[in-house]
Amino acid sequence: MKDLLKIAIDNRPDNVHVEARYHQRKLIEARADKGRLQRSVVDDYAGIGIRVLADGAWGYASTSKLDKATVKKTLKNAVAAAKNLAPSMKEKIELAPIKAVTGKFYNLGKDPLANHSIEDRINLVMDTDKQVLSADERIKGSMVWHREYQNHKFIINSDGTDVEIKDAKADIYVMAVAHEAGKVQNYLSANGHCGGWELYDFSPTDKMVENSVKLAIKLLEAPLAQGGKHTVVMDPKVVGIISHEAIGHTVESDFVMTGSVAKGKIGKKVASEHITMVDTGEQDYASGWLPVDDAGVESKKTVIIEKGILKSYLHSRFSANHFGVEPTGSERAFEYDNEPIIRMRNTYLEPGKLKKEELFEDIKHGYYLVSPGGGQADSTAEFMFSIMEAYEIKKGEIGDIVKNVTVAGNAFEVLESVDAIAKDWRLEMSNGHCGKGQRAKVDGGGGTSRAKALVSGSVGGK
Amino acid sequence: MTDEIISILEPILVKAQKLGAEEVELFAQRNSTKTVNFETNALKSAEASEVEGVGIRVLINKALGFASVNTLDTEKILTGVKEAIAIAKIAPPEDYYYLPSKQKLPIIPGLYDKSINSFTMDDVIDSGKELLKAAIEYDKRISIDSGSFDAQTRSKVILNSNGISASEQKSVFNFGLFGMAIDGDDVGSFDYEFDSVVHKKEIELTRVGETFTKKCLGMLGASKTESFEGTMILTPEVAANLLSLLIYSVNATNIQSGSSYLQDKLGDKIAVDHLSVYDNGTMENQSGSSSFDREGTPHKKLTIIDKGTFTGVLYDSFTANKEKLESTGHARGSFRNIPSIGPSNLFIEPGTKSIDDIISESDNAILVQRMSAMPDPVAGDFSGVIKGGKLIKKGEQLQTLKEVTAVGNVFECLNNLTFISKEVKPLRGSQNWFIPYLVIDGIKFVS
Repeated sequence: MKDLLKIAIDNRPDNVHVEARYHQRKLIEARADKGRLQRSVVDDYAGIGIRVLADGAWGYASTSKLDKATVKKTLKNAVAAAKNLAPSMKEKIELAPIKAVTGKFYNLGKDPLANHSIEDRINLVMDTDKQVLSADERIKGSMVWHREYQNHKFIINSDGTDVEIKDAKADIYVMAVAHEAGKVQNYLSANGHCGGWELYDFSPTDKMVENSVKLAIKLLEAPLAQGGKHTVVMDPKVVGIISHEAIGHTVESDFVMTGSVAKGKIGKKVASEHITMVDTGEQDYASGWLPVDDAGVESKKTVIIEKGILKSYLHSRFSANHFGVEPTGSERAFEYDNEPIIRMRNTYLEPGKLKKEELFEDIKHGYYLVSPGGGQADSTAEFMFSIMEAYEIKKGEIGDIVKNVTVAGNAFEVLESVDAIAKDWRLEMSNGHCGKGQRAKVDGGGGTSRAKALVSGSVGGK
Repeated sequence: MTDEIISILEPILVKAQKLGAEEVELFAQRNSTKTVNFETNALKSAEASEVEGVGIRVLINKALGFASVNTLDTEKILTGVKEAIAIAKIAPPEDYYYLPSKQKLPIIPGLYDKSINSFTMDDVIDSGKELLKAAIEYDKRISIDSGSFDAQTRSKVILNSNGISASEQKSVFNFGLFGMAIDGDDVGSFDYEFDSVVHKKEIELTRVGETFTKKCLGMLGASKTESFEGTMILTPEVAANLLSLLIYSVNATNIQSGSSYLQDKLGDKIAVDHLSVYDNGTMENQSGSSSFDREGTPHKKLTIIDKGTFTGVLYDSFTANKEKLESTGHARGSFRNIPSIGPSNLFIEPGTKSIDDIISESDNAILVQRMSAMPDPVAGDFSGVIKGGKLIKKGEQLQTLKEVTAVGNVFECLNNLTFISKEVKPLRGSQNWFIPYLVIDGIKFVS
């Protein structure tokens, strides 16, 4: 395969920068819904993407036909596209220099997914689904979903990068739906990682069943939260999603150049002194693991906020050149026919020094936010997330579970209000995707954090 | 182009049955696209892409297997066939799993504009420049984060072992912008505008560019207001956002799994008399049209709500088989996935009043331009943050609002719908919806 990619490098016209990438992505899914196999799918998607920079313009072309003649034709298409575009470019694209990266990077886990059969996956979801449905008579609905990506990449560029990457990313979701006296509540437990079948050692499905069933039933009797501005204690999963959605996207340099709220704020105080926020591809167990990005740049740990001061954006080679800094290795493409764009990897808040329980001690009344549901963020850093699992805090103690909670606010204001972070640091959002035109696997987390945010509890008040 | 694909697939259909598949479906697509991408108010890259592949569905003893490959290479398709067969051999059976049979397909004129054959990369780039120019020249405060213009030729072929054999070619031009307006320190909420048309002569770059900028400008200068109860006037975009819950609820998969609010309500009055909703995949000249669905079943018009009464459910073949009904032709999806259910061209019947008249006769109302909401799909409850809401008092549009949340229930809204505008906006892209402004009374606005 590498020989095919080399054809694109060797046949490039003079003064043309070339990045050639082979990516095979095999998606395997099995999902059971309420006792029946809802889907079992193998989607094998492989091909070559060639990105060229010619006369200050990007050209991109891709193909799933893996032969010499087609690679040459694809290179020609990419160069022609760039040359067509070049006369219209107001600002010529120039790239920051990089150090070439070479080597093989494999991260398939202790028990590689490829060693397991489709039958293992179908049995896993069908058996787990059965467990959910038989756990309690109030459980009337269920869903169990295993989804994995097996990736194989070669990335080479005309600056000398030449790497091979193999990894796998697997997710598991277990949902229970409880019914009683006309009320319906559900709870979704989710987990994921970068690695193999050992996902089910550290996240056993029977524990997930227990958790989903217990919480769906508890939520049937749960009261609503009191709406208003409250002190909130956020578990790592909630810290991760706010860091990613509401702050992280505003520091992606393509968005900064457009004029996000983070523009012009480097060196300025944007959060409380407790906040140090990092984006990195280092953790090999997390879904944002990334040794080398799809432009062939080494992935570097990026401190975005240090003790409350904005330090760095996330960069491509183009944006790094524009801002006069080093690229952070943040360009990724989801599949071979996607052009690389700036994405986050594992985004988190560094831990503090307190014990988790100390965060609750002096709270007279507030909410403990454990697990987020869906949400949205805006160019203004305003965000709104639903919280699937939240508890009332009364006089320093964790009280009853509350339902239909949403948390909202401006992310920078919420980070400014953070007055304590615990040392219980975890990355906890490996399952799921980040969407930005194309998908990306990411992770996020932090230490449990205490802040002030707008809690809404009046939705669906029945 | 499609004849070549049929000639590749026909022998594979036979081979798959020899390999043990009792029923086989092969769905192939070949999309050829020229794209220009934008970033930060400028052109970013030009892209030429060819995507092709086959989705393989096989049934053995009424158990389903599915695999897809992104190639039309016979050997690789056969590898996919074997993978699908391996899944079907171990998957649990369902009585209602059997593939559809051949039916007469409608002929839909105007789905292929030959001028796409001579639409070059330079034409794509020029169109992209014009779209950017229209947005930027309308008002310099606009900041375009991203966007694109593309010209695409789509071919699709479906063959199954029950005799279905059909193909279609379509031309599609997609274009849109995403970004926000910035005025000094005032960064507005983001917004977007897009369209998708079959014919070159229907490409309206100036309209889309200017509408995008107008929408973004409408987000600037937002201020707070007190909480109140009043009328919510939804732009077609927001109306579509909330109505996606109605479409979720009339989807046979969701009805059969017990996760639809409307599961026992077919034939019931669920909305005001002046609400009619229908789906029609056979419209001429629309990018959402096609003579057949993802399973080779013909498209036809289906009335979902008739003068307030719930009259139609969207079925694919399996969900229809389960109830011993005919598929309504609503299987959707690409070659990379098992078919799922969805609308094709969705229409809300327009009303008689113009939006200007509706606004001038409103009091204590908010005209909602965009809403950030995560409605509960089963119960219909929503709590949406209003973006770019215009406060209306005694028929006058006053300030733009921020930090206002609308709280309600989508299904209750269907019964509190006071007006539907006579203007209908096509919202065409990944979905193809034709939606008027909707006016709903009795909404709690929380500040």
